[in-house]
Order: sequence, then structure tokens, then C-alpha cells
Amino acid sequence: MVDDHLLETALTTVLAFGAFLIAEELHVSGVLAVVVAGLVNGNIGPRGMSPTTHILVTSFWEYAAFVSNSIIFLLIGLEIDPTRLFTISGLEPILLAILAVLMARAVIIYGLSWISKDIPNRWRHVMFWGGLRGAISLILALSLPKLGTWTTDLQNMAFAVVLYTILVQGFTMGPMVRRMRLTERSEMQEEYERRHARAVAAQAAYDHLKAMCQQGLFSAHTWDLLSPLLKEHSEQLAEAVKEVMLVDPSVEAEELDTARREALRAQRSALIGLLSDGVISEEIYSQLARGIDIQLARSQENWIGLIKEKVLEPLPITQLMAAIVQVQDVENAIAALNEAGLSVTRLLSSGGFLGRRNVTLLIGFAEGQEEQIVQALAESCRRRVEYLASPIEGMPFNLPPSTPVTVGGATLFTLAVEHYEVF
Amino acid sequence: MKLIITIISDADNEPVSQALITDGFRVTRISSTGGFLRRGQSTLMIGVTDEKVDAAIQVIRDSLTPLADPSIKRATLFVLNVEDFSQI
Repeated sequence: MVDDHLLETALTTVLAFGAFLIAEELHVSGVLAVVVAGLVNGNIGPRGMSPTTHILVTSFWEYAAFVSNSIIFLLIGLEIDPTRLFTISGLEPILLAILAVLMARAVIIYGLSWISKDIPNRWRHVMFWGGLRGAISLILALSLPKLGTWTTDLQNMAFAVVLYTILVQGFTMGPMVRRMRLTERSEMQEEYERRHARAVAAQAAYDHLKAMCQQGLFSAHTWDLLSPLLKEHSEQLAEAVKEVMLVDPSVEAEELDTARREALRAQRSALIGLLSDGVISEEIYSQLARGIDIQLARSQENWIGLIKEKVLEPLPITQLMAAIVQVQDVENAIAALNEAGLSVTRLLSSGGFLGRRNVTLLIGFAEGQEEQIVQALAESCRRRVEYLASPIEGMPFNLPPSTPVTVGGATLFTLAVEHYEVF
Repeated sequence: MKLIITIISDADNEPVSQALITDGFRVTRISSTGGFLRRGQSTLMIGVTDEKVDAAIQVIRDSLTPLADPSIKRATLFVLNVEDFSQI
């Protein structure tokens, strides 16, 4: 299995150009062939990619899409003659085109929705109205051979339709979704936002006045009078925010998940910084970055829920497992265990035979969870063969032949807990 | 003979260890990490005779610094049976 981000990016590029060339050779639409290739690749391709490769390929194509979108709109701008576009005779085909696009969309959405009957009507209206046109329509119009004025007419029509969908449909989409009551934001979420905003504002006020006082713009007297009031106000608001979080776990989970993602992104950019400063080698970088990418790709709202459950109804802890795992596997092992709702204490230790650093994980668990833990550890702690250089007796010179040694895996000891307490 | 493994925060290490030693328990401290955000923790291993287990737990409980929020847990405690104990 090849996993190289440069290779994967190159392959997707080859796929795009290849699809275009083959389609043109067969006298069918190259643009549509590329769209289909993109659809297939986007849905099936990422399955075989590691998270790192996936992120890199996606960001490459995001950039490519951004650049080509800009170029397409620039090109159509060069082709379009606005004086022709907004004349009475130019307006008629444009209105016809818009009408045709809307009707076609209506036929497809309302006509084909009998296939899946459980789509509510309100969703159908939104799907109908949401048919925004963009780069593909423009590029199809631009790729027409120049054979007379009808080419220009078609390009004008395409441009007008795109303009209409973006300006009219795009701007009315928000109010429409709200009117159809499709986005039901929970009351708690709104309450949280309100309180959070107030708390941030109060804290900003406090900080601002503090800075002004320190610069001597206020007398210390005023500060002494105001600061306790402001501080109390800000603390009360912070308390109010905390209260919402405790009342509605989903609000808390959302913010925790955002914080977790931010933390992971910060870690990733720190790693990139270390790599470009030459502090860490490429090998270490890719090893660590892969770990972070795996965590980023995983939705972690799950474990927050699991931890919540665990706090609410704690299982009786009857066993303690000491798992000795290799340093490289620790992060994955802990992530896997946390996902299973288990908390872990880690102790640094070192192994006997090779004297390698390893980590002993202490895991308290309830009856019947052992299998789950063993499963999680088996998946995260790989066995691998490493080569150990050792001199062979009788050799005239020290040629280090390497001896294969199996390392990794995990050593597990399970002990019975007589008494368990948390306080 | 029992082995008490207790996991407490680093801040509690000093008072808890002192209190245990004052009361005649032997303590081995292993520095460790865990929990949310990988905070520093101390794992204490305390070997005690069967009848003194409750006394040791009481000492730990009393020497933890009290927190304002009672829902935050400060110590996790496992008591394991020791099959054989000897000092050489």
C-alpha cells in the first residue's frame, strides 16, 4: 500500500487532466468528464488515504479550485459585453434562460423526489431554491467554439443565470431557510451565546480600564472604586456561562470539541515550525503529525458523551490493569481508551531487555470491560520488527549485522481491586 | 498486607505524603500524567497491613487540600491484595 501525499496529489491531478483528454478524444464533454471523475474520486478516493495525505490532497485541491474559480470569473468578464447584456433585445434570452433553469430544477427536485418519499416538503423547497450555478456553467459556456453571435448569446445567458442565482437565490436563501424553520437552534445554545458574549464584553471592559489606569489615564482612586464592581460583574457573568454549560451538556461538548480542535491545530503548526527550524527530523515530524491528523479526523464529541455518562453513573471498579506499552504507541492507546470511556494514568518506565523507554498505563475498570480494553490496546499497539546492531564473535572487524527483534505490542497485568474509592 | 495505589494531583503530593509519613506509613511516589489535558499527577504506592487500610485512606482523605467545588474529584484509590510481602 503506497501512502505518499505527493504521489496521491499527482495522481488526482493526472486523473483530472486524463479524464478531460480522453473525453475530448471521444468527442464528449471534457468538462463533464472531469466533474464525474472528481465526484468519483472525492467519494471513493479518501478511503485508502491516511489522514495526513487526505488533508494535504484536500488543501491542494481547495487551492486549485480557488485559483481556477478566480480565473474563470476573470475570463467570463473578458468575454461578456455589458452593453449588450443590458439592452432590451439582450434581456429577452436572459429571462428565458433563467426561467428554463428554474423549471428544469423544479422538474428534477419535485419530479424525482418520489424516489425518496421521506424528504419533507420544506426541504424540497429549499433544495429547489438552492440550485446555485457557478464555475461549471461558465466554463461550459466559455469552451464553446466561436461560430457566430449565438456563442456570445449563450455566454451572456450563462453569465446572467450565474449572476441571478448568486445574487437573487443566494441572498434570499438565509431568510428562506429561517422561514421554513429548518435551522432549529436550541434555546440553550442561544442563551449560552448571549451569556458568553456578555462575559467576554465585561472582561474586555475590565482589562481596558485596567490598562488605562496603568498608563496613568485614570487616577488610582477611580480604579479602586470601579475595579471591584467590574471584577464582580465579570465573575458573575463567567459563572452564568458555566451554569449554562452544566445545564446543557451539548453546549459544553460543542465548546470542548472546538477547544480540542484548536489545541490540535496549534500542535500541528508548532510541529511545522519545529520542522522548518530544523529542530526535529522529517521522520519524527511525519510520525507526530500523523497522530495529530488521526485525532483531528476523528469526531470526539463521542468521548465527551462517554465521560459524561461515566460521571453520572460510575460503574463499580473491580479490576486494575497495568499495561506496558511502547512510547510510540502511547498516544494512540490513550486515545483509544478514552474513546471507550476509560480514564488512564500513565507512568514512565523502561523495559528490561532493550532498555527502551516505555509507559505503564494504569486503568481501573469494571467487570466485563476487559475485552474492550484488550481490543483497544491490540488495535493501537502494533507489533513491529526492529533491527538491533550487535557484533558477532570471531569477526575480524566490527561489522554490525543487524538482528531482527520483535518489539511493540503490549504487556498486560490484571489485578483484582479489593476496594475502590474516588473522593 | 494490602497495596494502596492512589492517584492525586501534583499539588496534593506534598501534604499527602507528609501526612502519611508522619503517621508511620511508607510511601513511594511515581510521577505520572493523566486525565483531561494531561495534567501532572502523582501516583502513590503505600503498602499497609490489612487492619490499617482504613486508617491510611482516612489520612489521605484528611490531608487533601479542600476545593470549593465538591464535584471535582481529587483522588482515585485502588486497594489491591498483596500475596507476599518481604523486606530485605
